[in-house]
Amino acid sequence: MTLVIFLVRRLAGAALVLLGVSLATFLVAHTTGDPVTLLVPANATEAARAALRAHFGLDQSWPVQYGLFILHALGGDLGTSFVYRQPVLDLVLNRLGATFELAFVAFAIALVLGVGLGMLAALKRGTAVDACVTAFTMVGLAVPPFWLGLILVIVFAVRLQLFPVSGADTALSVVLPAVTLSLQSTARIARLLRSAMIEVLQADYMRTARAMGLLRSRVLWVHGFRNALIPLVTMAGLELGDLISSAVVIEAIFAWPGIGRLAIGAVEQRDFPLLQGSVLVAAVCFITVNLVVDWLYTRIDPRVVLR
Amino acid sequence: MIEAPRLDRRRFSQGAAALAALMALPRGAAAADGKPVVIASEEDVSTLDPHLIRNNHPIGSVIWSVFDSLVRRNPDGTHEPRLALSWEQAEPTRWRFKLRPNVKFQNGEAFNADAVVFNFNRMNVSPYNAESQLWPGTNLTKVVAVDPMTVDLVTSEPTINMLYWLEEAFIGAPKYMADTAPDVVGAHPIGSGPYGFVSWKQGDRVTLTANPNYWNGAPPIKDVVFRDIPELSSRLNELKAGSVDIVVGVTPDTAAEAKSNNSRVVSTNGLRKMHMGISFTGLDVLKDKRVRQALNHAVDVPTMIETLQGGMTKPLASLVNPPNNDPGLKPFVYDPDKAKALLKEAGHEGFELPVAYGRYPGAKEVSEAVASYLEAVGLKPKLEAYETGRFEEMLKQKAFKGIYYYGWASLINPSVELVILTSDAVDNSAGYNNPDYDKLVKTASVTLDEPKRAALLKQAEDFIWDECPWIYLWYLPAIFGLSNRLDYQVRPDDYIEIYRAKLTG
Repeated sequence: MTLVIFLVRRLAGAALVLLGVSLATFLVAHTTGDPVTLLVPANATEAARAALRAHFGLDQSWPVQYGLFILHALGGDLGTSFVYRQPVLDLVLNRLGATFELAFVAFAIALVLGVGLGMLAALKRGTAVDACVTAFTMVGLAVPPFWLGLILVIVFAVRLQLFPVSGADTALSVVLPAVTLSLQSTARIARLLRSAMIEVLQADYMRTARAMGLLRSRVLWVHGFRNALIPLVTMAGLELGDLISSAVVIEAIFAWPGIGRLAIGAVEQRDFPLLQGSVLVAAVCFITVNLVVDWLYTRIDPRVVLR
Repeated sequence: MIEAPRLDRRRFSQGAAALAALMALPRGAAAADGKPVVIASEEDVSTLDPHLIRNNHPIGSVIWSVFDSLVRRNPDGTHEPRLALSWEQAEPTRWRFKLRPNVKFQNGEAFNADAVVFNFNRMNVSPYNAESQLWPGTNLTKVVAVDPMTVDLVTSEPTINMLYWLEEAFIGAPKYMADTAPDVVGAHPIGSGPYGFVSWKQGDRVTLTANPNYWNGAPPIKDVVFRDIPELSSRLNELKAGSVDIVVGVTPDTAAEAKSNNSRVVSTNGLRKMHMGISFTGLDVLKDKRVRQALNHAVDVPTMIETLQGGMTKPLASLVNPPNNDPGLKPFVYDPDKAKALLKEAGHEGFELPVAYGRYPGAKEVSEAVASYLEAVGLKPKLEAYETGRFEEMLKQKAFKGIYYYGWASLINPSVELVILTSDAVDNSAGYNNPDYDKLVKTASVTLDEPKRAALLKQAEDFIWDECPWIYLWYLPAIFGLSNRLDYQVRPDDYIEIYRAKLTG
């Protein structure tokens, strides 16, 4: 029951957020200027330009345009792209899949590697292993992803020919971009988990658990790790959002057909419906991730109550 | 058609052995001879509607492969009959085209006069008429099917450039276009060209396959893929790895990287005329011809070509592209003393001059170099950077006050090239306005007698060169990376005519 109330509250909040996001996007987009100028050749006649503006509905007042956009959006129609002349929803969903795939693979890599390294460093605190992990996380945070991407391509794609250079052609295509994308998150998660685990390991309940003679692994994972999870989940939620947004740069380097490149193109070409659509869909994603993170808290820590 | 499922996840779960096998076999290696020819470009294909062509490449290159027009432009500007067999200007305002018989569209529809009428009429209605230039370009008023294999194009005034505009008036399967939703037509093109459409994964690739029923026989290369790879370094890496055959948009400073064991670099002068436009609607001093000539003498174009363009192009020598240009015209000589003398004579020394730049790779570097040359003759240049959309609007509104870095299109037609500086041309971004020049160009455009027209155009060409509406720079070099397995002659106008390419060996 609490879950239902929680969901209703949060969904109402989400609707307000989406409305705000769509209005802001609409206003920012429309202040950039006339999309028709960028679309047609310089020698297009004024009559043809006016007809095209009318075709796109740009001849109507802003409130009417925005109202129609919301009305259609409620019915699942995000309009037609000025540039692609395709339904925006199709375009966005088509590309969103690719971005999700990249972001989730990178997320999985970051979680597995980050948690592993963080645990290792915390358990071997003060040793050479700890120093190595710390050094790795420093380098990981400092290396610009686009640079790393180029180096990985030159070594693994051009020289060794183990992976494709770019594109999304085969199952192997995702490896290099995902590794590139995951590095910073891996480093951040490892650092966070290391410090969280060090704190937990010194806690009284851990000593008690050890004193009770429980298995070392049980002490570590059930009593220790679970308590270090709360900051990790918060962080991981943020990381996932961050991965989706940093995917934009990586998508360009690896010619990955994701939504980032679509949205940037929409900005450059003043493709209002496409811009509004991609921002809206991105907002939905972030809201969903936050919702899931909040719900996860309750599964990890029974003291947390959903409201 | 847009492919939905993309990845075969099962491959991952088949264990290390399968993965190792996959790694040992890079993409496409399974069929070495059947490996498609891959063309990589910076820009994405936005729509494949034949009447919404926004750039020569990549959209134009795909459209030229899937569709045919009545005539096609050869790299030297002459015309090759395609869906038209022959033509004549029956009357000054009536062009008659005999059509190629027994041509079928890729969906089996027959090509005939009605198909031409349908397509041309479609280009004249919104939203296609804003992007398709056939009707305004030719003063076309009516398209008439005289008999199934004859079409008349009726114009309101005598038109000399009919063939020029027909080059990009593509003809698609009429019934299909009429009966299908516009977004589907734009995503799944059906024409009568040398290649048929296979699939399009947006933001990634368009795949075509040779049309076995093409009227001129199937092209030599069977499978072709147009890929969108926005980063130049990634395109070059693909070329080195052997997974791409043509890289479009190589820059002078990266040309050396296109050379590898697998590939070579090829370049031509290009047809896009790079220049600093000089505003006639801004500073008054720029209305003095001596000042404009001084600006041209002040800038060392050959040195800029060596340093900024890798020596891969030539200085502009006319506003008319080769091979139609007047060979008597020569680039302005770099002579700062003469520039200073001209400025002094005009009585305009040391004025402040805005130097604007926006689009084009290397625009900032070129503008800075020009500014420093102008500073050397005592002017006070002021650099201004613009966002692409804003730059376009400034051009359209003729709002620049000083000079601006710009490139005029890849055309091979003297009258179309010269018309942009007439006072009522919508794309006359400099606002150049000279009644004598207008008269020359206008008279030429209605003079049907060829030698007479050529003489008028030459007169206009020489006149405008001396007028210096631009600081003349160079032809934008067209540089490509080509894989060694490909035999292909690049064109200076950006189009990739893949149906003319062959595999070596």
